[in-house]
Amino acid sequence: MNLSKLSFAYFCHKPLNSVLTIATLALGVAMVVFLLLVNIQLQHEFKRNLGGIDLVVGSKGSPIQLIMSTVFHLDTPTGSIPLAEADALRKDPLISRAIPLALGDNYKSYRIVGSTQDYLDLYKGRLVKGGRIWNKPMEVVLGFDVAVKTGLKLGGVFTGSHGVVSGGAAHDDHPYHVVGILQKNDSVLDRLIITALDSVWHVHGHHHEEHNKQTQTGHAEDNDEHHHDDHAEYHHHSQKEERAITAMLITYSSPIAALSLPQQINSMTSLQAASPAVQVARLNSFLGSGVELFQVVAWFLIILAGFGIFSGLYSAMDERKYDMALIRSLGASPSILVRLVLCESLFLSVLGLTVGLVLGHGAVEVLGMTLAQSKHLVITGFTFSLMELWIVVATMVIGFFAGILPALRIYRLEVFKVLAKRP
Amino acid sequence: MLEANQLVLGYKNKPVIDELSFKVSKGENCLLLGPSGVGKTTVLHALAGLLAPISGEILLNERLFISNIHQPDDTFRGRHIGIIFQTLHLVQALTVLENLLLAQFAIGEPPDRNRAVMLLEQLGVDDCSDKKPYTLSQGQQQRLAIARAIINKPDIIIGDEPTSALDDKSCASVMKLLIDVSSAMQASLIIATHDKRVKDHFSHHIMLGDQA
Repeated sequence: MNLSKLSFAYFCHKPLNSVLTIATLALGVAMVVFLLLVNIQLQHEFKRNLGGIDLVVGSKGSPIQLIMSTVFHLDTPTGSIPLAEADALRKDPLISRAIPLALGDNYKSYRIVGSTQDYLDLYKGRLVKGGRIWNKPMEVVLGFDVAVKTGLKLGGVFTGSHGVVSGGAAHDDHPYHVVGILQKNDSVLDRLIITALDSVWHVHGHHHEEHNKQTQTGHAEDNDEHHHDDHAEYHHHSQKEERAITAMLITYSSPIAALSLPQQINSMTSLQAASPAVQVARLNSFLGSGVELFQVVAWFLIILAGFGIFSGLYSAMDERKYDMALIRSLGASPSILVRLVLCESLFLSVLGLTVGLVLGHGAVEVLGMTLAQSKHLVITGFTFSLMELWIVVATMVIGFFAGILPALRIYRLEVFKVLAKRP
Repeated sequence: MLEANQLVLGYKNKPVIDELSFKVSKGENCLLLGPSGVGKTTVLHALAGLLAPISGEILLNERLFISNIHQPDDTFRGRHIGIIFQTLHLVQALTVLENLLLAQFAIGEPPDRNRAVMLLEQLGVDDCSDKKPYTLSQGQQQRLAIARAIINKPDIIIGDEPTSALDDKSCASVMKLLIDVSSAMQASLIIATHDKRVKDHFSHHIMLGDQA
């Protein structure tokens, strides 16, 4: 017999109240953990993919969509811009680096991105041994996740399909050749297939003719939801100077550029310039209020559970005052009873906390598995944050304080009165 | 040896017992008699160190045990005095065996399972050791309460109306049991009762109420 055994015996004697209290606490903790882990991983994802991109130039439309589609590869592109106009812009002395991106196709939902080697350098992409970068059209480099999930090896051949998600028309007559595979990079590169800009133009040059035929014979490609996004790139493929790209990722040569360049592009050209940092901050402010609300609700649940523990123990002590008086008469000092009550309160807190942590991490992992199918964000429940320590500490403190009043009541118990009174 | 000198007992300075004095020598059994409400339980609580006297003192083995300014510490009480309450006060959340171990835990002793099992055997309730007290019969519960009162080998065993709920046959066997275990341990047995059936078992009577 010891304090914890005694607490446990009381827990088993009347489990319903305890279980309800634990459930409330667990739900609160799980919600806080869930929000925390998802938020941390999202911010991390945003941060590492932002690396060095000061400005994105693309076609007019939603600036958030432009950033989401070209920097994070999460949304569909806003449209395309003429290569000539993009080329003219990159001569601006305020721009130190401009990386063109051409989207349009995918392989098993992994986006095929036409770009230059600068794009690999931007995220410090390193090739696995034996591979090399493309040196002619239709040669590709695979991101790490793409290689693992599709099973494609160096020297492998595949054909893309139209659109940025799977299900579009196949480009069977234009096979890609795998010439390089990237090492694990923890950036957006992991889930991309990168190739030369020419490849994208090449595929869609031929495709364009088919596309026209299909349209004329009433084929269903018009129903493709990405129609307006992806097709513009190759509408004028026949004239080289009117080739199109989806966007250009720009790095400033001087901080002064931030003051003038975006405004200049937005007002003077048909292009749109959007700052990833600004748009991510904007997105965060939208998401933020929702996340904050959930966080408040979650902490409210935890505090509610604290009151639950308090009222549960308080009424339990009412029922148990005979037992407590008896234990005193058997020779226990009041401080042992105080420890018993606190032990029970902490026992409930630890159980609720543990269940909550497991539940929270489990929920994040389930979300991660759902997202993995869409091949976009990588989120896992098997990650831990130092912030969780605060949740642990806060919960234990709440549990401790919830036990203090009932414990004090027991401390002041008048043993002989209680023992003489039992019905 | 237990000695009470001019005990004045009561709640909130309203004396219920006025200047009570008696002696119980080591191993002697003694009966506290009187009609209901006369203060028998009050005397027992004072002897157990649960209630401080308004004045007077109680000596245990010729040492001051209790006075209005001196209360024994809890562990001392747990070691030297075993109490059988009128309403038994068994802990329903614990098993029969655990109720015994609880008494050892209360005085900070490591649990002695063997002794607990042995006592349950001795009192004939060993087959219930894993049951909860509320599943036991009244007689079995009474035996469990006795076992718990003696597990820490007290010098004094105090019983508050231990037989009032029992039929004649159980009453006789419980009294015999109490006298047997207390003499086996050389403990003094002090029983408060208004149960006439118990009288014959004791030679030393302390009358409360009428006598005062």
